[in-house]
Amino acid sequence: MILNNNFIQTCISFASPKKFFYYSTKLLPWLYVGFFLALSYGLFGGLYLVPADYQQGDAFRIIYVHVPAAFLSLFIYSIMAFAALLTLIFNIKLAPFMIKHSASLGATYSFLALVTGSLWGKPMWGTWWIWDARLTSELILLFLYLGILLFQSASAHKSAGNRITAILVLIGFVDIPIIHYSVYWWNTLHQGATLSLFSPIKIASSMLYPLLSMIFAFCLYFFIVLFTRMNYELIALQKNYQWLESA
Amino acid sequence: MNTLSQFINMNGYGIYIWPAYGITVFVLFIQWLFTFRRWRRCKLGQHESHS
Repeated sequence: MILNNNFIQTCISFASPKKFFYYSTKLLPWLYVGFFLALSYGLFGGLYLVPADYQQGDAFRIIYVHVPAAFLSLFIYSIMAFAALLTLIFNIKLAPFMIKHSASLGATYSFLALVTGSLWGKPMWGTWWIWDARLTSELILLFLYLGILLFQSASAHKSAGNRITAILVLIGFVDIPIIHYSVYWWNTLHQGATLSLFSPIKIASSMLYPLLSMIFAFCLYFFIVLFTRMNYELIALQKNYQWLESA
Repeated sequence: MNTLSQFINMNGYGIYIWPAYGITVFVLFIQWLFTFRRWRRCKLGQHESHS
């Protein structure tokens, strides 16, 4: 019980703007290094090393941008939902910043997932778009992100606006399992999940490693941009505080 | 040269593959660039206020 309380206290202490600024600034160079290494291997592997798929030919190589973008669009919303809980329950100051700056990144990844999916769908399905369960729910996710961004920019009172935004994020979270399970619940054109935690992987290992590398690279990119944005937000808000001089 | 043109052609799928990668790289780069420039402006403003 004491260990759990200490652990919780330690986690909460990292929510302080000063600690976050200090540790994120230290971490950023390493994130950049990891990003470039993962991206290099992912692109080289995906475009050159990996053989063509026996059914889809070289068109399957779009998987190396499509799947990471789609995965991140869901992952980022999950992070936003967690930040929304932190806002509502613990009133942690950094949490609304996390929601605000994650939303545009999530919208970007949703957009990329839809565009790259469309470019993949045309040669494979013969169409740029179809009102398939997976595609439609992903489009709804993009609208959710855009709605959150618009609401945040329109809300006049920051404190009340942050709490309402957090509630909106949590309501929208219902779309995440719908997107994930859409290929199982409905008869969809979209193929089933390539990667799953609870079932065997349906992709050859030679194709898998560059895919995992690209997913990791996209993750690192998200944290790089998120930390940078949160840091400049903190600088802008607290520029007269002396603690910034030591950061 | 033949290998390069084959690589770009991707057995006829290059017209879909390269725009997918190109749009992804472009959008992510622009997003990062705007973020980095704003961060740099903030940092410069911070140094000026402390000097």
